Amino acid sequence: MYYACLTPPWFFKWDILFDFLFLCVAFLISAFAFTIYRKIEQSNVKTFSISFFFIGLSYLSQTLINGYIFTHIGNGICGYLALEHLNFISFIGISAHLFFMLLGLSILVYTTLQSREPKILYLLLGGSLTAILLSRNRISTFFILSALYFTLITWHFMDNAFKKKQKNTLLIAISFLILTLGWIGFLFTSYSPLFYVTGKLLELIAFILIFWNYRLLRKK
Amino acid sequence: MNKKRDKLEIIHSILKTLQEKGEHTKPTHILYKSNLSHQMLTEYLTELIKGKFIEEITTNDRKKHYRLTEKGFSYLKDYDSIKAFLESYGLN
Repeated sequence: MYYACLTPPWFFKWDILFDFLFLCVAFLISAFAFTIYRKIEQSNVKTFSISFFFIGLSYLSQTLINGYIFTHIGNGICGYLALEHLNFISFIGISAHLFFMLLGLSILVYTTLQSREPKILYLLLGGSLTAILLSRNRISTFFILSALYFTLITWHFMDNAFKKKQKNTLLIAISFLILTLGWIGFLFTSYSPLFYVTGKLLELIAFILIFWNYRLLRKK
Repeated sequence: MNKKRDKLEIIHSILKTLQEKGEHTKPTHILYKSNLSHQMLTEYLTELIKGKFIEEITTNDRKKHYRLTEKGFSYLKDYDSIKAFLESYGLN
């Protein structure tokens, strides 16, 4: 048995709002990266843009599915809710969220590894999807994989910040460190819904920092 | 000891030279200003022509000159923003 939603009922509306903000920031970063790619035609900028596009799609799926649950079932569903008990549309929505997030994170890990070997990307994607499909508790496996990918990405950004010692590199490193902590928090959601709320709040802080960095870049 | 210049900085230096010199810039002038070897400069110029950042003009006396394209001017205008973005995410 695996669980679809562990949001406390009082937090459900905020959860939808937060996901909407995350999708806006992710699409904004993706579009900005793509305009830069059009100017310099550097392949890692293209993959970076694609990764944020998929992360944005993942939050879009999450927003739509939570919006659907909220309007059709109500916020009383949250607690331990089996994925099997949701109808087909909800199942597709949640599966899309997992798939797009893992796709986005795998591409971002591949980009930060600075490898030109596509086999690494296929390995990351194949490994993630196999682990999810073979898992008994797919949501927990998804959180474990995502937390692992965020750790790898944060390692790259921390290394970049230490090497360059600039305000914008530090801002991105801190925001991804906070994101990683938030996703590690999601791992403990089955113990208490408060871990989910804490994770979401950390995610919000991280996305505000990413957006702040975006504003600084646009001003240059 | 001077910090090693990255690709972005070298391209910026070449394009900036073309912008400052104007319409017909000789390769020797670019070579002098960008502080590159002849072979490296040829590679960069080929890449910039391929990317449509600059154009090669052959004069009546069969000498090669270079000038910036619209894409090249646009790159120079957005250089600070591009550089900061690439640095932020460690993509350079």
